Amino acid sequence: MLVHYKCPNCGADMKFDSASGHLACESCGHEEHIDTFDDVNITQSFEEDEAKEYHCENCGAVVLTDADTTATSCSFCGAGVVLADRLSGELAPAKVIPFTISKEEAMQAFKKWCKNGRLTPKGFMTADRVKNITGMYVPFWMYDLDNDVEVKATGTKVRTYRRGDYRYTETKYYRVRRDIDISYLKVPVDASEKMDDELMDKLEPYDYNKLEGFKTPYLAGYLAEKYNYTDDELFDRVKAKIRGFLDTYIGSTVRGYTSVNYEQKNIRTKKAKSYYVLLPVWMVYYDFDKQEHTFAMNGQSGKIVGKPPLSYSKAALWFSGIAGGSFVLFKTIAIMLGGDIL
Amino acid sequence: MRKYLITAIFLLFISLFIVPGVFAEKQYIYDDANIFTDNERTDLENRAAEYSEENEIDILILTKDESDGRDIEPYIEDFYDEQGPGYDGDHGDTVILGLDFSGGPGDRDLYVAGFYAGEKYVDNKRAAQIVDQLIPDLSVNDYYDASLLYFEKVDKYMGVSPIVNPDGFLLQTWFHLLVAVIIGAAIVGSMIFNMGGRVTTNASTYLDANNSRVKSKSDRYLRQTVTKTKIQKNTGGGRGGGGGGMTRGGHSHSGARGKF
Ligand SMILES: [Zn+2]
Ligand SMILES: [Zn+2]
Repeated sequence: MLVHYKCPNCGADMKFDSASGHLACESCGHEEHIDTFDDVNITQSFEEDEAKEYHCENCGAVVLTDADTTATSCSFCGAGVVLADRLSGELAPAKVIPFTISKEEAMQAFKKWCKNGRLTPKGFMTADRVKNITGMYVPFWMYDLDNDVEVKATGTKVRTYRRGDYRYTETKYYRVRRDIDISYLKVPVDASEKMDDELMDKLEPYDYNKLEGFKTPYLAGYLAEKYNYTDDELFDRVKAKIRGFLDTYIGSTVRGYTSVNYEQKNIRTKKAKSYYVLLPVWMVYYDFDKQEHTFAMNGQSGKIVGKPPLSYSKAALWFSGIAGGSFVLFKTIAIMLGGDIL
Repeated sequence: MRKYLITAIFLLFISLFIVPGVFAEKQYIYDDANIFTDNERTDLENRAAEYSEENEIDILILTKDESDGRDIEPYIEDFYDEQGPGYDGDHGDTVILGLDFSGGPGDRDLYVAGFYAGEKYVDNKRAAQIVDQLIPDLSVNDYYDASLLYFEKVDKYMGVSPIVNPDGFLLQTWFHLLVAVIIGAAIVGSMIFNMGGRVTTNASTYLDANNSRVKSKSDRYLRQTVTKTKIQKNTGGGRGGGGGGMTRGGHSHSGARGKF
């Protein structure tokens, strides 16, 4: 089931416009509110064998998709299409954060980021070999988590004092117990097999005030994928993700000790809720030095992540500048205090 | 008569040059124990004068033997009270090295004292450092070399702010290089590490503060242990020990003593 969004004015294909947050027609400029967009204008085509092939309604060409694609554009006529059958039932996202950064803005921001690369090779900084920039809705699971934490620890308080010719060190030991409820809301975990987990984690945080109820027109003109892992399959990953947060919280409840030795941290994590959400990411593919580098940009905040190539000569220059500068500074202070020049 | 007059005027004329010179000629080496040869004494006098002039402080050496029964410290103090040395005038800035040859080898005392600016720049700790460094030469009866080393050390210490140890690592080039390299490596290392973007979430990003709380807590006292260690008296960090004091004439001084 392929969904096209037709302009009620001129019949051309409409796309989601990140600036206005509306569907916009590129031919006549007409805009439609997503909440009120008339279903009449959504044309759906049914295929005999849906799982295998989709045909563009405009030009009849085969729309190239893989098993995970839920939205794409026709490679011939460019019409944004949504594969609605892959977004229904169990696969229906609950929420979406729409793109707020357009392709042009993303490109510009990326170029600026490249230019600021203090350790990247000169040729990379011009960003003139960007092969491809793709707006993509990446599937995430968001978890609301309730944690019941039981902590047993030994705390020490150390006091030193002087009496006569002796220094006394007094160590008091305490049995510390805590029973804590710690809740987290909407912790995201990337549910796509193709996306690098570390890269996606670094894209956070997203502004959750902009979470919208999912509607297919948000995807018009972008690539989108469906999840490869269920919320249960990723539960261990989200638990690992909040482990550091939990430790920080626990530490904040055990104050006033010189040292704390945890003997037991019983953490029971319960999933209160999980949502299937789509989060906006600009993927930038950059050919440099015969290698493809992949960068990701948060489609809402503009934060860019991904390892750019490292220029060793620049790193050496920075190092010698900083080390040399500090050496001169130390030496100057030492000479002012009366040290020798060498 | 006329001849006598000419002679008298001539003598007066000569004395104009010589007499003030005699008065101005300061003595730096008071070798009562007679441990230096005449040549050494002359040489040390010249060097002491140079170093003293350069550092604007009188740098003296006193030696004594058993014919004077006083300990070396009061000996130096009394000398200071009586002679009133000082670069900037009577009872002024002075550093004194005292060598007492009363005892046998290994039981002879040395003392380094600083008065006024000397007390500030050659404080107890620095005096102890000088004492420690002089002992090897003194132990093999190399008094002349020990004296030269004493001049060099005072010369060096007078130029170094009292807040740092002149022989410590803080003023050493290798230390500056090491710290500079560590700082450079740390900054460039973190730049490289952060090239790919930093994690900007923290423990409070996803926390639901309204539903997070400590349900129960207890901090129960179990027991205590007490250990005691004897406080080490500050001996100046080496064999040199002692500390300063006050002369009978009321001049405060720093100092450290040792044996050779
Ligand atoms: Zn139109
Ligand atoms: Zn087409």
